[in-house]
Amino acid sequence: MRRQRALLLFALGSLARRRGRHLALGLGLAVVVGAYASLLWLTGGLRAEWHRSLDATPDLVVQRLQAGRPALLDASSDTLAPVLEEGFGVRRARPRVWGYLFIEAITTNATVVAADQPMPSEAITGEPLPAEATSPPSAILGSGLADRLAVRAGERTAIADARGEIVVIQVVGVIAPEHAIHGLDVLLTDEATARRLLDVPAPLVTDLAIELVREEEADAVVARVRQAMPTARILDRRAMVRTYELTFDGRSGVLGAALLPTLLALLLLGWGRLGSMTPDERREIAVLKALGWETRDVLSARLWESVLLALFGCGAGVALAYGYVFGLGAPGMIDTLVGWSAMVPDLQLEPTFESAWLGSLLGLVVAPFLALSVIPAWRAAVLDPSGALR
Amino acid sequence: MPEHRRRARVLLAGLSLLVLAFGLCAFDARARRPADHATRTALVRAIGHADLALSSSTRWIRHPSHAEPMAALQDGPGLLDTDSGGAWVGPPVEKAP
Repeated sequence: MRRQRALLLFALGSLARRRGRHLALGLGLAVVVGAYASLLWLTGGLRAEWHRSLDATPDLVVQRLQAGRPALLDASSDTLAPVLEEGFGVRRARPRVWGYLFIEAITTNATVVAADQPMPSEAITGEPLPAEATSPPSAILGSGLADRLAVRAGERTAIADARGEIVVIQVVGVIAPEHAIHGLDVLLTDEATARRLLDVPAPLVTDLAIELVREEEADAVVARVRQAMPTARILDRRAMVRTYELTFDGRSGVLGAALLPTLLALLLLGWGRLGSMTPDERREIAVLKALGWETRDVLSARLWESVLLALFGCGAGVALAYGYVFGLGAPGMIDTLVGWSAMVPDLQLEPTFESAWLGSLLGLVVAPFLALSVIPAWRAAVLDPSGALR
Repeated sequence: MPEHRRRARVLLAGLSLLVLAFGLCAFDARARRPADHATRTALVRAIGHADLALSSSTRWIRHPSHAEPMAALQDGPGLLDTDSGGAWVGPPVEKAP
């Protein structure tokens, strides 16, 4: 123990003596670790945000495919209605009318949703939707949409529906900006107005949201729906979760692959810096060995140098990544995950930490870096002292 | 002061800085934890989707769970998912062509 402590302190002195070289290496390590840690934190934050609201999503969503594409669905049809009656595993089946409306004036899409569930008053500024239909129709807008339309709660706005006809809307409430990650572009209104805006004639609906009595009933309900409607596309919650995982894991994986050259450059830099020995270093090792240091002592000291570099480089990288993602909002990196858009929410992600990330960082960056330092350390350790001193 | 003691102090100072940085991160993370879970859940229930409004420009980014190119059964019921486990993972033997 005392020997290792002494070797550790010797390694620290060695790092200080060649601080320029080691600072460059530590900085490179911090940048690469920081880039990967930012990616993991950003993806993890987005995934956590979605997972937090998963309980509120339906167990099954039934859509209709026509010519291989999602089409409007007649939920009241004789074939489908009987299999979705309450009982037999189904707690509730809700036909939903929702879709996208391109608003040319602000060159963006709004997600129009026909309200069939109450909106929590804490989530909005203004009033909730009135129970009865009003004239002009009432709506709650997402904060991004309200900003783009330059309208506030209590004011009116006019937008063109899917057929190009102008619809005047009374904005009764605006979803608070802290909930923009879910409601940024939403236009929540009564069913008749949603149908008019989206040009969805009754009794057609966009899809059916099914809540099950127990999650285990999913397969039986899916089989019944499939039998009644062979063209049904039925998404269960597990499939949606998996898709989400694939979406963000896939995109972060592409970005991670794009960062590989920086990792390779760091490893090459490390190989060059740790592998090359100046005449002074050769003389130092030769003197140490002449004084009685064994090969394993020199090896340990050199490895301690790499461990200290890795520790401080990684620590600094992870701390910088935290500030970059959660303090600055990951400018530059977030765009590669979500793309361009006319409306972008102000992301306030919750930091999450998974032990698997640590494994990923250690396996991807730190382990290769340490492994790479073993060979130069060994070459230094087996140096012949008399030859080096001559 | 002997050299080795000075080095030990430098090492301790460096480690303390790291611990302090991580402590600050942990403190900040705690402060950022959303308290209004019930409100968020009710909001999502009212909107009908948990998908994140990261971009309103395309439906496959707005609602990936329904419309993403990787979404399940995107092109037909019962079809094999193209990239269910990444393209390097082959389909189940009984379903392979």
